[in-house]
This record gives sequence, C-alpha cells and structure tokens, in this order.
Amino acid sequence: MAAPESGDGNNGAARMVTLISSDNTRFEVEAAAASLSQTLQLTILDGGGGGGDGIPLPNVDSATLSKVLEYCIKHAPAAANGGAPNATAVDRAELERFDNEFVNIDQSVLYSLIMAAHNLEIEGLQSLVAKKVADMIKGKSPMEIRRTLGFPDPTPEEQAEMNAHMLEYGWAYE
Amino acid sequence: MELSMADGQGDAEGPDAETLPDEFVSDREEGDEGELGGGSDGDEEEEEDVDGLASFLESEILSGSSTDDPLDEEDEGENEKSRQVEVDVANNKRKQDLVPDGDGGNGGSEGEQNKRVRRGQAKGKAVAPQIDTGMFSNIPPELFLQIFKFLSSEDLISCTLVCRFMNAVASDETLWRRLYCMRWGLASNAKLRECAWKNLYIQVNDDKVILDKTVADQVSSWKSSRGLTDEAVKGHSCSGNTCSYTQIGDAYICEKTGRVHVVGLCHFSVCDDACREFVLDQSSGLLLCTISGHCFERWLCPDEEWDTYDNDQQQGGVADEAEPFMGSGRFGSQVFSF
Repeated sequence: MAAPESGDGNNGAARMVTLISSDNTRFEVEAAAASLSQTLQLTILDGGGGGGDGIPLPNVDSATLSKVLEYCIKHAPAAANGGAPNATAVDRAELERFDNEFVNIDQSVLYSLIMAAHNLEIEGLQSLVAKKVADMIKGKSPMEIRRTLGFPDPTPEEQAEMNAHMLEYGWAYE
Repeated sequence: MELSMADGQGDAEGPDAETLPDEFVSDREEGDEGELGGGSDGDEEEEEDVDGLASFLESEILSGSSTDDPLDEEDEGENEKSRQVEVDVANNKRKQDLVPDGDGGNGGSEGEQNKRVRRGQAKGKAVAPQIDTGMFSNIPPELFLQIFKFLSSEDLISCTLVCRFMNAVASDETLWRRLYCMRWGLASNAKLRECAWKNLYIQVNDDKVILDKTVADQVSSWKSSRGLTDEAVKGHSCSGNTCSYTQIGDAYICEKTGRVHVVGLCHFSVCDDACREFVLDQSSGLLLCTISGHCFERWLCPDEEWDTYDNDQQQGGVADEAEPFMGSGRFGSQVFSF
C-alpha cells in the first residue's frame, strides 16, 4: 500500500504528511495519497509535511480539501502501481463507480474541486471534474448552458448577438 | 494563443481584476496604451465580425482603451451588476425598441444613472457580455479548455454562442485542430491550413472549401449531364468496392449518386452523411480512402505543432480521446467510430 517514496526508514508503516487548509484545519494523510498532487509531490519528496510541520494550502478550504483527499486516498493505490497494469476488472469498475459518485455533487462543490485540482495539479481529478462539467454542457442550447453554469440571463443586446450567431451557425442545429 | 487567451480572460473578468495574476492586468494596460488611438465606437463594434477571434480580441482591447484605469475599475467591481443593467438601458435607448429586464430598476439615482449611461455608451457593447455572476465565471480559460476537450463540435459551437468569453475559449485553435484531425485526419493540403482550424472545420462541414472552383464547375456540369442533382440518394452508401467513380481533378464522383470524394478529404461527401470512406488501418495507423486509394499521414502526427496537443493528451488521459464524438445530431451521426 505504501508508495515507494514513503520508504525511508519507516519500515512498513506508510509515511504520513500533514496538510493545512486555508481555515487552519489539519489533515493527516498518507504521503502516497498526497503525492497525487504534482504540487505537493516535490515538497513531500524533499521530506516536507512530516512531523509537526504541515504543508499549508492557503487556496483550499477544509471542505474542499477533505473531498480532494477522499479522491486521492481512493486513487493512490492504483497510481502507485503505475496506472495499475495488474489491476483487476473489479478494481477498475470500483474506481469508476467511485468516480461517478464522487462528482455527483453540488455545482459549488464541483467548482471548488476544479480550482483545487488545478492548484494542486492532480491530473486525474482535473480530468474527472472537467468531464463532469462537460457532461453538464453537452447537448444543451446556449441559453441552457448559461443557466447550467449559473451565468446571468443575457441582456437584450447579447440575446440579439446570440440570435445572429445562431443563424450564422445554423448548420449546427439542423 | 496563450497570450490571447489571457487577454480575453482579463477583460471578461474585468470586475475581478484584483483577483487576477499581475500579468493579466499588465497585459491589458499595455494593450490600452498601444490601441489608445483606435477609438471605440459602439455602433462600429456592432458591425464587426465577432466570429473571428482576432477581431474579438481587438474589440476587447478597444473597449479597454476607453475604460478608466484599473484601480477605478476595481473600486467599481461591486457595482458591476447594476452598471451592466444600466449599460443595457443605454443600448436600449439607442435601439428604442427594447424594454430593459425586470431588474433594471435597481440602478441607483437618476443623475448617477445618466452618468453611467454615458459611460456605457462610451465603452460600447463590449462590456455587456462580461460574466459577473455565477461560480463558473471565475474559472480561468485554461480550465475551460480542459472542459471543452470533452465536447463535440456542436457543443463547442453552442458554447461560442453563450458569451464573448466562452466564444474566445471555445474557438481555441487546439480544440478545433484536435476535432479536425480526429475527424478528417491531418490536413495534407497546405492551402487548407491558411485559415483557422475552427473555420476550416466548419467550412468543410459547410461544403465550401473542398473543391477548386474549376473542379467544382466541372463536377457540377458532369452531374447535370448525368441528370444527378444535389438531392441525396437514399439508401445508397458509397463504397470503393461497389461503386464506380469518375475522376475530375482531385475529386472522385460516385456515378450512381453524384457524391464527391476528394483526395485529401477523401472520406468527405458533399451530398450527405452516408459516405464512410474513411478507414483507419489499425496495423499502420494510417488513414486510407477506399475510393481514391489515397493514403494519409498518421492521423496523430507527432511532429507538426503538436506540443500543446500532446500536453492535452497527457492531462486528459485516455478517457477523452473518443469523447468529443459522443454528441448527437448531424455531426455525431456521421462520425466514423474507431
């Protein structure tokens, strides 16, 4: 379970690191899980985040961080196996099921996740939430997209502009 | 392209300028100074071709030139909502035929409103499409790009219609190059590459760009001599094995239906969606046309301008590769799946 880089001297026990959210909540998590974040990985490899020192994450609040870590902990074993070449179909299906449920969340949480995944550079999570947002957009008209993403209704002028473009791109709406 | 996106973002999120990285703000300031002499007239901007990214950015810069300095803009950030409503009022006065939104009455005192109306007219329409509410309005353009990678061309077009900011992002070259190459293979014809990938994709779908005029004329006269019209022939699917073809220039014309297959875009049919002469040779990774026999370069060319694309691939993982074609409708239905 422990990632290779968690090795030094901690025989068997997975190395733990502490992350501190913007609202000063401390999260103790396996280094292997936290290392899914490219941003954190270097710090952790340098030995940071252990002992009493935590790694401060001023851009991520505790609610979002706990959600992010939920993802990281779930995906860490597969990532440690280098993309899990020997993962069973059951494992993969389980991860997929987890992912689907994971992004079945409020838009506000989804938005926080996008930003956090971006800041922490967690590729899998970035991709997962981006795909979720894309799913929300798919097959919708421009007006529906506006509403889905929480944009304000168009001004009359914007509406006119949209209508003009609709005609221009009429081929896309046959 | 990255710089362009940064500009678009900077302006689209003007009210939140204080939250942007310094480089965004300074980019805009430079733009202001550079384009100050351009003048920004609202009516003039209305006539612009907002489809083109270049003209879009130009208009954004122009609109920025009449904007007060960034500090002022920051101060007014919280008033942005009401100011936009008032800009609408200004625009409506110009048009004299539209009624402001129901919440248009929130706009402060009359004197202040008049002042703001003048400001709105000076700034022209470019300020109106800014997004000032909604969580997703704060997402930086590069993240929207990640999201848009999962969309079909149809959905991307819908996104371009949402607002100017999304128009800029959804018109990104990398997105359309990706769609184009996944759909048609790498364009080997240099003259096709002179226009933007988005326009190229759309034009090819719009039947405008595939044939030289001379060849098109020949094809047209050949078809009329055979009594073939532009009407699609139902129930016929062109195949290199079963159809016979007449060659005119780069074009191969199905003698039964008049469908045109063009070398270089050889799986493309000007008639309808039934043409599926686009075969991916699994062993070689080459695109083959069963009609013209034309063999394409690898559809994912590793060396030509593909740095960004490769990055996308790495970030997106495997899951997104076939994803853009999940849409339905005209595009979705004629996509060859592989």
